[in-house]
Amino acid sequence: MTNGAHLLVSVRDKCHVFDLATGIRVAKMKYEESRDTVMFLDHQSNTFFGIKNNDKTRIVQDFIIPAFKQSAAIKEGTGQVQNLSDHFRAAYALHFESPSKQTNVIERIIRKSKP
Amino acid sequence: MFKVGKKERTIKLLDTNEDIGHEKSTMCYLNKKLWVRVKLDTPLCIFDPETLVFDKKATEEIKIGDSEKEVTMAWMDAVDPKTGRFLNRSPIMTDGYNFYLISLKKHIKSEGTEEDEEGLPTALVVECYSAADFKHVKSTTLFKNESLDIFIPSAMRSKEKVEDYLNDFVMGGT
Repeated sequence: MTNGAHLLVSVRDKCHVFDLATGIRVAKMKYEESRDTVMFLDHQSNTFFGIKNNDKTRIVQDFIIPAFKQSAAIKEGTGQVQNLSDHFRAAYALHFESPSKQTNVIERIIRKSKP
Repeated sequence: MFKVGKKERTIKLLDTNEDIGHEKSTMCYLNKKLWVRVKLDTPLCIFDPETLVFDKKATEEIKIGDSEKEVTMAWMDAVDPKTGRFLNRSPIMTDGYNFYLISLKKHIKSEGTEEDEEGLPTALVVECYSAADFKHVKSTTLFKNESLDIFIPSAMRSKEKVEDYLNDFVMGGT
């Protein structure tokens, strides 16, 4: 996932953040638990959404990665905002359009950006 | 046809009945269309996100790269000998302004070696194309540090492991 300034690469139990201007990794994080099977980025708020599925619950977690939050590369007047909004809505719809009888549990885990 | 997401919604390719599994495709949403890179003769397919119907006209109109030098999005069995570029299950993504593809490319500076093993592309390269005209904007090689050691671990540097690595990479979401 990218916001144009940074790229998040999620591989196995780790995720890596790269500066797209230089290509150099600027952050590396290890997932605390089992890795989210699906992740989306809401470009408008620079908030990530991780989705976990198991037999009875579907858990949505939202979290912030400081490098992304600080490097929002929205270009006004280009239509990018609408594109991004659509992007998130479509991604979300693909996974949630058919509601199941499963219990949906929404957990909010917002990690505050370091000052 | 192939399946999308956990609920197995189906996208139908009008010109083929080939069953394309999720493991053989990557996708993103751009310019109000669903873009799917798939292991077919037409590697970049465009769909209406409302109906999930294949948009043949839009697909045929898309040309990635410059007019005199179109860039292939095709899945490859081996490295392109001219460019050193290798595409397999390479992810596509967007920031809403540009279209991105992550390819593998031979890179001369690797950790612990003077040069990469012959024939193995070992650097992840982020290729950036304008979403307006799809011309090449820039390519960025990914490094794991300021010493410019390439990102892919040395343990992954075999063709099979690189492909496996890319599969895991994609599952992280785009």
